[in-house]
Amino acid sequence: MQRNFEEGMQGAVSGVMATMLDLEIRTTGQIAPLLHTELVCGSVGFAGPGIAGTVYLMATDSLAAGAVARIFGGEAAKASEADKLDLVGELTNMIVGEFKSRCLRAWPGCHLTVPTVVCAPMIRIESHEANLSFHLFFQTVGDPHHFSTRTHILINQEQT
Amino acid sequence: MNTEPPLQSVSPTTVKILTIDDSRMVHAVLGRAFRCYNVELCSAQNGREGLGLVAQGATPPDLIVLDINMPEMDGLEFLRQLRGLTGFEALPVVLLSADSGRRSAEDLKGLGAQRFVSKPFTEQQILEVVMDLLPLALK
Repeated sequence: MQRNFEEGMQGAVSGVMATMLDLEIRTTGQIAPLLHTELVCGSVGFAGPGIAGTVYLMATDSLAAGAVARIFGGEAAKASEADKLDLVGELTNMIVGEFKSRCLRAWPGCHLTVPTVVCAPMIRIESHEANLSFHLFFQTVGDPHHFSTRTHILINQEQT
Repeated sequence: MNTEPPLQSVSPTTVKILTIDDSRMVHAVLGRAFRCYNVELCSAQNGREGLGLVAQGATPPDLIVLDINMPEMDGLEFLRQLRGLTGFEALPVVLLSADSGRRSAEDLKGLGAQRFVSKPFTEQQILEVVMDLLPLALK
């Protein structure tokens, strides 16, 4: 199941980035810059009978600024924090929606939360209750920017 | 006796579209999609703000593009209250959401909407759906 979920998340991220930002991406191994730079982190939860979880999208500040410039026009260097937060939040919302339609059809009553977004230099996310977790790393093709998704899911086998 | 109506000059008609979404990114993408057409866009950040614009606006919108998942008042509650307002019972509404697959025609009828567009969407996808409900004239 975890392999299917990971592939579903990769497909969701690729599809959203291509459709909304015209960005081609590829998966990579763990990326050092994500551990030391300013990050914009969006999160969207999902819950329904038998399942609950949260997906975090962590983008470097430079990726968020570049994406703002693509959507709103103007220079990346002048991207406002409000626009970066808005954009990462909406991208997270779209990615989780796409992940849901790819992987969570077995839980039909599952709904998404409204996104929340924070901006910080060091973000550490742990879950002590999830029984399925994975962390995927991505890089944009061409001008390389880095980002990752972290997914924590609690599946109640008795209700599934 | 000539019974035909008098000929009138045809000018491009500007249509008014209200977009309701809590994301500025989505408003920006919708703005780009309609930039070549005679469309007057007005925007609201949530259902409550959208209802205020609809109720107080001198010119009602010709179509509404409506996100479902929003804080304060979500799209479904907005739609329920909109359909209770006189004159807005049949106003075309296009629903947007990341939180579902393709909705069936019966679902849409039950919700009081005419079309559903799943996020993410391209400019071409939203244009095609809107133009299916409302003819748009190029600028």
